[in-house]
Amino acid sequence: MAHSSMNGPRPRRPGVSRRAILKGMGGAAAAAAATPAFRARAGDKVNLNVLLTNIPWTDAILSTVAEAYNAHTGGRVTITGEQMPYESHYEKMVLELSSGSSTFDIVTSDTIWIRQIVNNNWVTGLEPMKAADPSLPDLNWGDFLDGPYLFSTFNDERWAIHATQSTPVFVYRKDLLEDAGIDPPPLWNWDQYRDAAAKLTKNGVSGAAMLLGGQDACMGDWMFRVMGYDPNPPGNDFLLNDDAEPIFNENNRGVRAIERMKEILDYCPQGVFNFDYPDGPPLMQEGKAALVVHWLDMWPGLDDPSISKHAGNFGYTISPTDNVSQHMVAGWGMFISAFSEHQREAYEFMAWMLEGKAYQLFREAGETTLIYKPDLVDPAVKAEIPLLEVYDDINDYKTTYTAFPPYKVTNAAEVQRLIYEEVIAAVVGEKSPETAMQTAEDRVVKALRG
Amino acid sequence: MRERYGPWLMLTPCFIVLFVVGIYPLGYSLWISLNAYHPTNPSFPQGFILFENYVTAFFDERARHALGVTALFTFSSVSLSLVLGMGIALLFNIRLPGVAIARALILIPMLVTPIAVGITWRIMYNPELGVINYLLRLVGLPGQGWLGSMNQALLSVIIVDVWQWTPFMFLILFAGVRSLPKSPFEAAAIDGAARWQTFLYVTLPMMRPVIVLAVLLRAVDSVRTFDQIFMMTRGGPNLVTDLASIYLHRVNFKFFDIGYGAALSWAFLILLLAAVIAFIRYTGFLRRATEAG
Repeated sequence: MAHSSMNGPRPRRPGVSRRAILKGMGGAAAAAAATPAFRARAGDKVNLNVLLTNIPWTDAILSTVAEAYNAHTGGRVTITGEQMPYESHYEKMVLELSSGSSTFDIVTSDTIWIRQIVNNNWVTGLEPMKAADPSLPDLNWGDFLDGPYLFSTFNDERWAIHATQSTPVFVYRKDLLEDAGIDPPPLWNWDQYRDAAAKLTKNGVSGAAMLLGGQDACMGDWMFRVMGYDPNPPGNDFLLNDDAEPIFNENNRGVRAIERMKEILDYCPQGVFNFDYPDGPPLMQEGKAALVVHWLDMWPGLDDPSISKHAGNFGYTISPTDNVSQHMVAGWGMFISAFSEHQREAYEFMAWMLEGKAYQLFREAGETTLIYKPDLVDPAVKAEIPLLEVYDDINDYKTTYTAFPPYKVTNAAEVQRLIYEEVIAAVVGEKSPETAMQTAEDRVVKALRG
Repeated sequence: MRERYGPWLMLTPCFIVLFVVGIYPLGYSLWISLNAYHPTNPSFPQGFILFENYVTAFFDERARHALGVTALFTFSSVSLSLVLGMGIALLFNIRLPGVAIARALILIPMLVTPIAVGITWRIMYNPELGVINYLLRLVGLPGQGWLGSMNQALLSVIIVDVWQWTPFMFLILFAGVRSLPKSPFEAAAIDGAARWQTFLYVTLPMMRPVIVLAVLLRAVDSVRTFDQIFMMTRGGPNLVTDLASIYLHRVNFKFFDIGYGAALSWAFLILLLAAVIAFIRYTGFLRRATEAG
């Protein structure tokens, strides 16, 4: 200021100044660096952030799988993630994705939430990506169980890879059955289950257990019974038919399932109305309950003597049924976020996972809901994880897979909640099962506003 | 000119902050409450619907139930913590050895994160594996269902709330007790008043403004209770502990029915404000505070 006032304005140089050129170059570099494509081409280190829940395979993703993939990419790609408890996972997932956040490159989703994230275009499908860019590596689907892909296949294209497949498993105490003189039938029905529960309820042990305090867990208890009445036609999901009409109480099966739940209440532990997923394993490990039917992924520690007092005494088979033997499947899928800045790297990571090594690492981390076929036929693995006996029974009894409702609707969590409220109201005796099911149907129809 | 606009200029940053963090979000939530807004369900009807959400809220059986549970929870919890807090404040007003340490220790529950409180009590309440039933059985009493019992769940969560927040009541009431003038007590002693008479006719009337303040603060806080209940019961079993905050969370973050959730929030807020105003008018709290000031 003083300089110019003393000497007059500085003469302007012709053309573009060096400073202007440098500023322009700096700006261009900053703009280029801000584009995802530039970062991908630059060969810089990339971090893939994964939204996970807190079960054994997700521990592996953050440790052994991350290390193996980092080594595989020569240190170029690192894997990090955030583990959420089951109930909070849904909220976190929806809040992140609905806000268009790029925090997570890969999101994991329970099967019943998948329509919500797909219908909102929050994820990018794997096979659509491959179709758009043939230079991407091939995906090896052949070595994996097909069950979970019921949920993540749209227009004949697979949108996710699945980390696990869960299915209901009937867990029973072999020693207590033997002591009570009960010879386990090859395929149980719910009458036999109730009678055994009554006989086994003594000496501080409850004959049976249910998990009625959690929305998803209680729906499981109800659905394990519903699925045993009628064959599920293709296209149905036990909740709605192709015309979007509620069918969960067709032929009175919803009511009969509630009655099946009520008839064993007297043989369940105190506090059964508040039990959720975390309460199930300790009950069995501590020997407080003799029989339970619930998802396969709940029981990884039952045969571990360091945490289970009755390790080695558990038997596993498929769920009891009253008519047909169908087994629901569920599990966790892994999707590429539509907002990820590293979609190609995420795809490559998943393609690498499908080569199989990652799934072996899942198993080594304690995961029991395996879907990698070589694991499922390996006698050493089957000996190590007795829970897998359930798959032998599924084959032996020609049990068919069916999808876990209400996966077809966008607001699955809401619909599930409405049915849960009515089921539990009937189980505690506040409503008759018939009234509860009628109310549930009315509420579900109302909730399907779209 | 400077004198006229200077103060306003100096206050502008405060107004901006107040607008951004206070007024705008409130106004936006009010606007949202007048809309059908399902950000996670794009095929659902969306858009301005005037007071339809409020009409739905008025006839919402679940909302009315949640309101009733909240009222019962708040009334029970505040009453119990008031009685206990007052009792402990009077006890600690007596000069006894170790009182100072006990006073510090008694505040600990208040300092624990509500989420941790919820998890801890859920484990302790476990009917099969929890310490409470273990102790009951040890002395020959039958174990209880606690959080899993339709009859005991609400009482169980009230106990936890009382356990955590009685120290808060104690803190305020103890400060009040310590600040009371000595002469009325000396006069009562000279007149031969019994202890209970002194408490009833001297201590309580003089403590009234403090009690009203403590109840008001505690009640407003109790109405908003969420974390502990969410960890312990999530509103169950069969909605017996379904407080308004739990129901609101479900509508907003499980159903993502944001417009309706906003309307419910405003409806609950208006009811809470009405209750607070009625309480203040009934107790004459503001008048007394003004007189005292």
